[in-house]
Amino acid sequence: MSLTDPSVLVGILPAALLIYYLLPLAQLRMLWLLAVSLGGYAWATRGSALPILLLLLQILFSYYMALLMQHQRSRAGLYYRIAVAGTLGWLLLFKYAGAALSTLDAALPGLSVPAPDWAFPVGLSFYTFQTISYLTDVRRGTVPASTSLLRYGTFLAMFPKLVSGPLVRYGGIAPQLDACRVTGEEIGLGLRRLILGLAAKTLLADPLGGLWRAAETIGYDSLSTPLAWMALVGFSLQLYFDFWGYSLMAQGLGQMLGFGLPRNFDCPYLARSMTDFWRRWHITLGAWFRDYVYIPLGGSRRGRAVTARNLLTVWLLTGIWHGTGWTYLAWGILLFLLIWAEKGAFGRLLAAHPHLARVYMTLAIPLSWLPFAASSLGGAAVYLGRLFPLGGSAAGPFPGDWVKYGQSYGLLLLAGLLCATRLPERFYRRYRARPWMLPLLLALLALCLWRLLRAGNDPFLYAQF
Amino acid sequence: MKKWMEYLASAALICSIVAVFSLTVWQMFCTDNWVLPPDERERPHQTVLSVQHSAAESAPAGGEKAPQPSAPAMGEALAAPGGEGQKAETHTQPAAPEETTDAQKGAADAPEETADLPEEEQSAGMALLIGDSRGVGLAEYGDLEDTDFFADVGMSVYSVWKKEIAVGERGKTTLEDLLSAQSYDTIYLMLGINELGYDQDQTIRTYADTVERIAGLQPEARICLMANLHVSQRRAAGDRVYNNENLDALNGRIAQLAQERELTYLDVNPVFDDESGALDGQYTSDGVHLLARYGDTWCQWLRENG
Repeated sequence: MSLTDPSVLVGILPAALLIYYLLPLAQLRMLWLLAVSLGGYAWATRGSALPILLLLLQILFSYYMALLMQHQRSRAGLYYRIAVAGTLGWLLLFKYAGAALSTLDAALPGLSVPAPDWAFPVGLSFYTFQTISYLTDVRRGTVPASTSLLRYGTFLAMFPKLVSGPLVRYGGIAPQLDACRVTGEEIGLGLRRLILGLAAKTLLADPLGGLWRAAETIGYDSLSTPLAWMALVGFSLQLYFDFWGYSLMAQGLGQMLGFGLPRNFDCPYLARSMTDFWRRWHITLGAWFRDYVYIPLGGSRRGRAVTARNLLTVWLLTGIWHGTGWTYLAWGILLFLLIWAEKGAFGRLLAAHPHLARVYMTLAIPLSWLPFAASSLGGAAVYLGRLFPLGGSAAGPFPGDWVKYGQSYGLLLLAGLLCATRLPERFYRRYRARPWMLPLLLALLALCLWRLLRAGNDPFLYAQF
Repeated sequence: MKKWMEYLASAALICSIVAVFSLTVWQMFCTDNWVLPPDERERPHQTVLSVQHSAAESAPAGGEKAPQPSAPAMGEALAAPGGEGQKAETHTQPAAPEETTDAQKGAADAPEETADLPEEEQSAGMALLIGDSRGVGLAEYGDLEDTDFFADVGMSVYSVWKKEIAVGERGKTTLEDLLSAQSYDTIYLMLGINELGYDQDQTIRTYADTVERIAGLQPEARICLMANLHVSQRRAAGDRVYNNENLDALNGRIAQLAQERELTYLDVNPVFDDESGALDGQYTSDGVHLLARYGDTWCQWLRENG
């Protein structure tokens, strides 16, 4: 039940929403929302019974552990540790068992370790982190444990944010869940946001994806330098619009259901430093790490050495959270180094000279995505060699390759760069009340649906080799 | 003291970024690597195989343009008695000696590739490769000389006569116009993967019609039908359409067609296959296209076997 599946977007979603609006009681609406969310998740992961069972298990487990913590204050610490271990353990298992076993297999050649074949349950990272935030908030007393399984379950599993949604704190959303009230205006605003998110994903991210795919197909060592840079910029833009588009869709849907989901992006490509960047990119994840890892470890208040240690911990965990493998670890360390450098004189320099900051970020952003994009560290090194061909040739084996891809993707890259600024937001804010704005958005929606249908409907025509 | 060190470190960092960037820009715009024509560029992907042949090839290639203009006249003279269906090894042009060795080569060909031809045999004139995106890959990253490419992403037997593609210095042209305007010694045909979703009987019929039409337009050209490259195991997994069973079935029918029409059939798959008969993962990133650096390997094989 992907949100970009046309049959869901045009068929299931409006039907589900309609029923939601027609139900009289808040409790009934919550029940319907939970049912649709769990049903959609079960359908999307119908290849295996594990994901939906795990989700149900997590809901029940954390709900009852939180209540236990609340009611038996003396043993709250113990229950907390059990609850977090029981929750985090699944994430570690699915993410790292495979990697650990294969590393073990490589290290001990005599022993043939079986490779586990489990598929990673979709959304596990996200709902695990939300569960941990809930448990921690209850432990700290910030939020009372939920006395309604229905409310808690809906909080954790609600479909706009279940799969990749913004990380939401229980405290922020519980009162809205109890009310489950939507106004017509909210529905309109939410729908607009949904359309804009869909457009970002379908009309910008998906086409731009072709450029990085082309670079991978050709092979990093055969790219010319301009093409290598173009492809990396294309990847950076694709990643941004894909994730930002999805987050906008989640926010819009949340609004249509009566919830204010938090914003996840704030024009990150306009940031003046990497520190600033990571306060604008995947904001809810950064906030989670800040509130539940960085600050409990002491933050920046216990001296430079401890601050460094805390930062390193946060960034290693961030790298690990994004994926298994050495590339993600290296990526986390790279970001730590940049952010640590910015805490000192370098940061002050950037703050004092905004133009220098621009140049720095223009390089740092695509380069910091390189370990993320390349399939391996070796690949990243080869790619770096193409980006900065010192001593070698900047031209590739095919002399006009950047011209060819420039012709295909030039306009799209330009559009992407423009949309990464505040221009679209300003444009929308300025003209949003005009009579032609709604037809424009509907035309955008139609364009998105057409693109999605073309991609999905005739794989023979669309899968072009 | 510490503050000065920080400033120094920051300055060093900025200087190194600027230096690296300037060096790159200088490399791009101020060195010759940028503007040399393709023949004189260094080829970074010389494999061991191609090094021996490049010297042998560059010598005769220059001197054989002369017989070209006579070929269309010959072709027209032959078209009447030859008619349709008479292909490669029946042409008996009394032109330059290279043509007759071509005929001998054609006559000696079984539907499978022949790997042990003497190395002095070079195809005299231009060759044409008609293909899909893998043909585009050969055009862009291979090192075939004296070869035109009529290839595009998504090309199929259903679209090959409708597409307009820029060929060489010619500008955009359809295949019919191209075959009417330029005479080719050898025409390679590599199509099939984009048709896998359609009925195979119909595809083969259209394929056969395409071959007929090409032969009609260029009766003296030697037509080589190329097998479709396999896809990797990973790519084929779970795909009911794009898998190696379907590709092998189609390739088999193309081979049969080649045998019936007495054309050359070329199958490069043994070079790039793994033990299971799928494209080896080390040669590809997306499971469908060869990595650019293996374009030369394929071209070398083609020179030896085509």
